[in-house]
Amino acid sequence: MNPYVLMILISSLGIGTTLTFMSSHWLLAWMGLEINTLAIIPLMAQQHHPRAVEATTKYFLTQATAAAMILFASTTNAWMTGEWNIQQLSHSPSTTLVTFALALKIGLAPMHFWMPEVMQGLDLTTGLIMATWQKLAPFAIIYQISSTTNPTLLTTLGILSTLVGGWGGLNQTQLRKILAYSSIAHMGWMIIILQFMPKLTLLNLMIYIIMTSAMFMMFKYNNATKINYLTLTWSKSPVLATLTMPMLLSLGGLPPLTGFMPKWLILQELTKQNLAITASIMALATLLSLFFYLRLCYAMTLTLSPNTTNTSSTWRIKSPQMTMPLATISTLTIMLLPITPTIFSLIM
Amino acid sequence: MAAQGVRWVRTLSKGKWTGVSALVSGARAASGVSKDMLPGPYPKTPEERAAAAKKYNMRVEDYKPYPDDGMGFGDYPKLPDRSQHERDPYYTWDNPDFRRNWGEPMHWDFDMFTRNRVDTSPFPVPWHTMCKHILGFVGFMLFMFWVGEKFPCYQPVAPKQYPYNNLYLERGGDPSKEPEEVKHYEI
Amino acid sequence: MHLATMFNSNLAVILLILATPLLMTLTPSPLKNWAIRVKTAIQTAFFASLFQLSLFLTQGLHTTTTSWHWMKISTFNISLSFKFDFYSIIFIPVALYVSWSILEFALWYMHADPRMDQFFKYLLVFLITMIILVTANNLYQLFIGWEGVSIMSFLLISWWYGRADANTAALQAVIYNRVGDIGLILSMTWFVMNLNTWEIEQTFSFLNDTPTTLPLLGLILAATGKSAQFGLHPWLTAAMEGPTPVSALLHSSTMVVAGIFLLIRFHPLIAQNPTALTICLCLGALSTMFAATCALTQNDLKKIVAFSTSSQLGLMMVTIGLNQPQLAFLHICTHAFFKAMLFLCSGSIIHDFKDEQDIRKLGHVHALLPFTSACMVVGSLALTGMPFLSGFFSKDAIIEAMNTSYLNAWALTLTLLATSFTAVYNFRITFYALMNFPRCIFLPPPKEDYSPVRNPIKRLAWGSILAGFLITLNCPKTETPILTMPMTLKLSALLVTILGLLSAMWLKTLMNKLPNKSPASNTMTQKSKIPMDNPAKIIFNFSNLTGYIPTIMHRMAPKANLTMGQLMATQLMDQTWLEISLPKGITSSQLPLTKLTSDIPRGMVMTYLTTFIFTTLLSTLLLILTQPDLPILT
Repeated sequence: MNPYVLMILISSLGIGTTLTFMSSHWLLAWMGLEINTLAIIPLMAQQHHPRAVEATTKYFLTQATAAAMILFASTTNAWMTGEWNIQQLSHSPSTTLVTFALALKIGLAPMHFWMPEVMQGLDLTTGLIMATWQKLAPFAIIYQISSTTNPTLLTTLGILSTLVGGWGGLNQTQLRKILAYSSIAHMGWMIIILQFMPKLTLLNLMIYIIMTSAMFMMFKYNNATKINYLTLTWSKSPVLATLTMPMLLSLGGLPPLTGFMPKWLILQELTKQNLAITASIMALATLLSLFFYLRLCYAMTLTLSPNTTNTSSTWRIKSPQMTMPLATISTLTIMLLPITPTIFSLIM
Repeated sequence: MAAQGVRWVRTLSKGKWTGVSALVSGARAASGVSKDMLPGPYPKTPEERAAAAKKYNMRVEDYKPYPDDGMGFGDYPKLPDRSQHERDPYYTWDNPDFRRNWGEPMHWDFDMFTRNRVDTSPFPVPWHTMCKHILGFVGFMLFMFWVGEKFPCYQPVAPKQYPYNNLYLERGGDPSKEPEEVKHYEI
Repeated sequence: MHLATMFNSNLAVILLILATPLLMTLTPSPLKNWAIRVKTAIQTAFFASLFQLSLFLTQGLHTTTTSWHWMKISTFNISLSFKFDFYSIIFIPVALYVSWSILEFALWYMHADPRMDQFFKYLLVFLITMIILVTANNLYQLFIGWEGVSIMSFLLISWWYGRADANTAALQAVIYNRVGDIGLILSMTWFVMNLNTWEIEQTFSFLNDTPTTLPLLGLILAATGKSAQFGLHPWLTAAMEGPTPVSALLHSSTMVVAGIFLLIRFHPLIAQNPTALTICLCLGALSTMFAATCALTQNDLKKIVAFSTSSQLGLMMVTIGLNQPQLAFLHICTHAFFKAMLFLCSGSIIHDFKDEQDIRKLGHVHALLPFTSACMVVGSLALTGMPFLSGFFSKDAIIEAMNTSYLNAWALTLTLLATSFTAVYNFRITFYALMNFPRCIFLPPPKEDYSPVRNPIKRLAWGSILAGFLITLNCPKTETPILTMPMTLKLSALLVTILGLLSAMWLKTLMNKLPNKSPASNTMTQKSKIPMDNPAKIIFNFSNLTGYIPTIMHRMAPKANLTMGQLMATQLMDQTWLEISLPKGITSSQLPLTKLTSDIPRGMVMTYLTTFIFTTLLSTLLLILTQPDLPILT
């Protein structure tokens, strides 16, 4: 791709999201979303591979539907209440519509179906953008409308997403699909707490982005797209293979790793709201996710590939890839838990 | 596991990377019993019985599977409950510690019948006679202790008596005074 | 003065001397002749311990010292606390003296063993744990010593670990002792819960109004296990599978007397509780009688000696039941000398006759090994209570105390019977093994003039002759008042012994008519049943097969346990918990949902949009239905 075009696309990608961030007007927010979608489309399809094109088409159709629905709902709201402000979304059918549209955008169950398949068609860098940056703009809107949405709806979406994220991932051997389902499960956690403590949603989103980026970068470093590629990680980068285990466990939310922080706070908040049953269901549903994270750990660190390599191990050769971001982000993925109070006070 | 660890350390310390393949196979073997090592399905037809007997290195006449009651024994042969005490200690067994030959089918509860566990060897006194006698002995003893408790035993004893009026002078009594008579008892 | 400090630090000196050889093994280049160093260390420790003893004898010092607060659990203190009183101060030199002799003997006996150094290390640790046990004033400390002797006995009995019988014997020792430990731990728990202390001294001061039967039963159970009283006795005779020095040490000054010693330590408690006293008395009488009966018909030289230990331990238990702990302790001390000597003599005989230990196959030993035989006879006489040998001083006093007490008539009868049996089985050893014509294949003439054989036996022989006298002379006799009694009563111990001896000699003339064919030797090969047609044969079999107790207990209990364990492991755990409810159950419940989740998408854009539209419509509809007054369009 021509670098100028690439630059324009990437800056549009940034501008679209930031536009949504700063707007309090529905129309402007919608425009931001659209710019963002249109900017990522060429990036997704840049491989000219049929799979990538297919994924792009699927992504475009779903995002366009969601955007159209958002526009429709906000217009209806403006018609009914005469108010374009995002936070003034007081007309409840419109609220429901917007909630579902945004759920489709971020891939919440049962509107999650596009997510694993789109992810599977992308290369790992675009997948990284897909799983992280593309979640930001919708969440900016979700955060703003959080006070007006229907609590039952959010709880249903949250629990369903966590369960579906777990169940879906169990059956996968494709790493990108596994990460897509992991993303769905994490979205569930973010949505369930939205009505009680929206700040925690943001915190969870932040931690999720850190952890998912780390995983994508790690897969990128190893060029791994299937579980069985992971069994050769030790020959490529033994230290990374070792570090990936805590990273995965952090993604699964085990103490004393970073991933435990949002789960801990969310479960605490849910319990405070007298929702012990919901909290239990969420915690148990996460066990499903934990299972496939553990399977990745098992494949990577607890077993070795049954074949013997004739070549010398590749870890002796310096990798041309950039490792600094990976080093930073994997450290963050593993070791943020002790500074929970700081982060907590930062977002409050 | 420990043996595996030792192999690790040895391999690493020698700096021999050829050992890695051995480690690899070891790592895979750590996953437990494979499907092939479990007993097969319960043999129903005579042909299956013959095949199973051959599989366990037995003659068809000796082969007798466990009853097919869903307890997971499958086609595993039901061997007589005989402990290794009963086996001839002077025979040259392939494995003299366990008194067994290679290729010999193992009892399902092999661990139970090793030489320092259950002994099933014939005993010169019948089992019920033994139980009868020991219970009789203990019962008799308990009864007699009860009787002994009812009729306790005590012998006549008295504090020590000494001659010369209980050593009156020797104990520093006043010689001028007439000591009181101490009566000595005969028991 | 600083006498008290010197007195208290004496134990530290002893332990330091004993630990030196152990610490020396930590040097990078291990020293040679390690075994001799161990022997020397014990010898030196013995002489060091005489200092404390002499201070005790001259000044009558006895102290309880708390050296260090070990740990603290809220209000409950565990401290390192030692008690140097009559019992521990007399016992330590005795134990060291006996062990010194035994280790010197072992230098000869084990000289061909490739792991001789390790063997000596074990023996040393065994002795050290016993010293920890007797000096402990704290139950926790005592427990360390208690478990220490257990585990060391396990290692030593299974010294020849290639032999399945040795392993079995070691397992028996450990398992029977664990049963006893249940009692000790029960009592310790009780003391913590009710008295909040483990200091033995302190437990006595609280107990005026607390019922103490439960902890005392625990302690008696502990003593039953450790001191091999009836019911938990089979391990003691099985322990003969270990090397002879181990048997000697185990039976004389360590391990088996620990149980009796525990009861002696807790005597102030027991004295207040008539139930506990009665139980001790009856249990002891039963044990001493049973073991003596079994000893009568055994043919294994070491086994007879082992049963005699068991019988003497029963006698000690009886003495505890008589409320005479000092006499029990006296018997522990005198018994240590002659029992160790009997074992060393048997070991010497067995070694010289190329591992022949069946007394029917020995004979004429007195001519071949005159010195050993002489010492064996001295030991046997001391054991039977021959006047003015050391056994007499304790045994006669015990019988006399029994006779003058108010007690269970049956217990008295049994004890007197057991005492007369002592004479019988000792006569039997002497007659079969030492006298008569040789009945063995002649081997190169055995020699006994090695100094490591002669010296220890000689030292122990002196001990067997003099120790009772010396200890009695210095023992403060507070518990046994001097009484006047009829002549027959006074001499009853001697009388029953002589009676036993006479009957044994009479039986010897009837020897050929006795059913002397041992059924036990036929166990392996002969499958036919032995005749049980007259009472004599029934009693003979009962005695020869040691009351059938080992057979019944060691066949029934493991079978029941292992079968249950197998059922639990395979049927309950594998087939039910793992297969149906837990891991497999979760798998089978999650699998359909997983399949559903991954099957729905099918890669169709239609699916995405349809689900979106349906869910949106459905929830909007629900919203409208639940809120009928909602303004849809105005």
